[in-house]
Amino acid sequence: MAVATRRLAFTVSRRTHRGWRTALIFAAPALILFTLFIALPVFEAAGASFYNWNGLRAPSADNFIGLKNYAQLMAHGTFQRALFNTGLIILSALLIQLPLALAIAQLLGGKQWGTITFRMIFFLPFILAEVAAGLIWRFMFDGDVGLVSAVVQAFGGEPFHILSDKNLAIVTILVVATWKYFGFHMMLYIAGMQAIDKSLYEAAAIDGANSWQQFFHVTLPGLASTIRLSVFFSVLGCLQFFDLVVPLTGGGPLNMSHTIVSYLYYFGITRMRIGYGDAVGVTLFIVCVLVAFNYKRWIMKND
Amino acid sequence: MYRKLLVPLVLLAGMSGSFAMAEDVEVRVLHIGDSPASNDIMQSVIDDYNAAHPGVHVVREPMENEALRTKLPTLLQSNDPPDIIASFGGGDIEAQDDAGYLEDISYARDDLLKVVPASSVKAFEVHGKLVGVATDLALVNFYVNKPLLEQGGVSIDDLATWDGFLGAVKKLKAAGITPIVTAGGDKWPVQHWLLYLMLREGGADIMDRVRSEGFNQPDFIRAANDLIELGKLQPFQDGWLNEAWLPSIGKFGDGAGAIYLAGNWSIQQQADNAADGKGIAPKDLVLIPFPSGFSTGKGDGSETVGGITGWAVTAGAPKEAVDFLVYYASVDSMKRVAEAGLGIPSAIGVEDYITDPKLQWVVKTIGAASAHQLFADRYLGPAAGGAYNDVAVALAAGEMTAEEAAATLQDAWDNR
Repeated sequence: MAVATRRLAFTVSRRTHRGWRTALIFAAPALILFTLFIALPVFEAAGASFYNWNGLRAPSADNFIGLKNYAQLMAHGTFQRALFNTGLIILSALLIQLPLALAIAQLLGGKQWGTITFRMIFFLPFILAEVAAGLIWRFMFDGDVGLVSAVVQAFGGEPFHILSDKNLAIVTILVVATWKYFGFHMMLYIAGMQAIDKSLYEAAAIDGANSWQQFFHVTLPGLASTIRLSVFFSVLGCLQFFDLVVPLTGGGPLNMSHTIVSYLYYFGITRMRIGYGDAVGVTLFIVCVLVAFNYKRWIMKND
Repeated sequence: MYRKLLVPLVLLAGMSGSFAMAEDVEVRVLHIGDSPASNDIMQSVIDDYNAAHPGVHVVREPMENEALRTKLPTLLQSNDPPDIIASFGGGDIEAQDDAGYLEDISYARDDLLKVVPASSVKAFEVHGKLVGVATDLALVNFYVNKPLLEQGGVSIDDLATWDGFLGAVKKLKAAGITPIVTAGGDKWPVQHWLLYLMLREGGADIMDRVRSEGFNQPDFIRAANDLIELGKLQPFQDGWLNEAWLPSIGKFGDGAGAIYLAGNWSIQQQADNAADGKGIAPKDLVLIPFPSGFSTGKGDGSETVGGITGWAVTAGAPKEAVDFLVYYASVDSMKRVAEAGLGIPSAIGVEDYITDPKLQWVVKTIGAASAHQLFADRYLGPAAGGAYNDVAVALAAGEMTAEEAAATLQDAWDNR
């Protein structure tokens, strides 16, 4: 009996061993790519963030400054503002952009006449390149020739230079981000809605549920995993928000509309403080990883 | 059989060796290619040089101004960097030379001094060696829309002193005319104000002094307070805080404001970017110096702000690159730029080819200046220079005190 158990254990161990080897062979290409293009740059950036490095020569012991870049970063008012703005963009996405996407998905989820056309219209901004969208909206918000200012003036107001208003410039970013990305989430929700069993709606209707009740008790629970995924994409996208900021506000006026990544670009790269930029990048990476892991672990644990 | 094959093979190997020896030397020039007219002139100079120098092949690689600035560090670190790079000198070449990316071309000093004045050579001396040469000069000064100024009851003479200028701003505001146009979005047009005020309050050596002794000194504080005082009058056009350079100079060309503190490139750009494509008529556009008459008396009023731009030679560049640079910097090449009115070359003897009266005034003014200070953002290098531009805008907007400005700049300088 004892011998048989030992033999069985040996066989299982050999099988497990072989299984690992096979898994490693299959995973090798992905592992190599991950190491080359993700792990190595991350470690390199993390290392460089401890140096006062201008990107011109390999960092050396002469310009090692320990955690000074991180200390400066945390004390810099513009970075604090960038953190605040990024938080605002996340909040706006969660409270305005996604509910709007859900509402329009509910309206266009059926197969009535024109729904396909409207879906495409609402999805179009998502296809447009960020830089182009930013430039178009910069004209729209221009105080002298822009449509927004013209509307304000049509109602008897003064020319409205919102892009030059240090408190309101960030609002333009929120508006354009909502306009640009809600179509993408709308499409996710429509796809999710189409996967919900129609018989559930029929049963609810037979039970006397009205449209609102059907939405809250059938659609929303049925969409839960899609919504969780969409929130996940949205939050991570907001944390890395950059492309629209540069053409729209350039982080101005007075550096008041920066996001974390635009701060990294303007204060790290264009000023050739690559070590400092790396410190911003590492901070952002840690935040993203924490958000992603915790979200996956606690909120998407059943998905 | 083998012997039959060996002879042609040896011959072939010999021929390929001689081909290698006769291979052209390529010289790559990385330049700012924003202006088609300037590009054409550069190409014509290159074509002439290549035709006169068999075996040397100069090629130009144009890049947009901002892209060049951000991509240059990577290009310099590559195995095949350009041989000659467009450069604003100052802190940029100091950092590049610190990293060992520039060539010592001191051996060409005498050849260069035959074609450009000593100041153009000195501008590209760093750590005791010569790394390039300045071929272009630029001057920043007041551009005045004379009819608009007079419409506000102000004469050109009122702008000669700082007090007179502040009075003029008030008069223009009262008359409903925007006194000053600028671009707080791009920021660098606003830095000229702070830099000029520093030169007038602190004298020609103020930038060297703040670098060595620190920004928190009375002359800087006075200059910063002057800018705050100007900003309090709200002299700039609506929306100036996020205005970019080209739209702002276009607005000036449209007559949206009376004064722009800008460089000589604006003469053409105010016309090109105006709604009618013509801008302010040449007779109505008046160039005058930045006001003087400050109480400290340290600045003599003739100091100027501007560019001393040119080219740096990268480490390992062939001697032919330096030879081309001497050719390019000479009057024979630069007269084409001067005749086209596209800039102010520094070449000796080029004055005879500058026919535009405004550019002639610019040349005269630079010549008479006690000091020609390089743009602060270039002089301080990218890190502290960026902070300088931020500070200038914040002071003009009344969002920062002079002491905070000094502390911010000191911090940026110490951590550059």
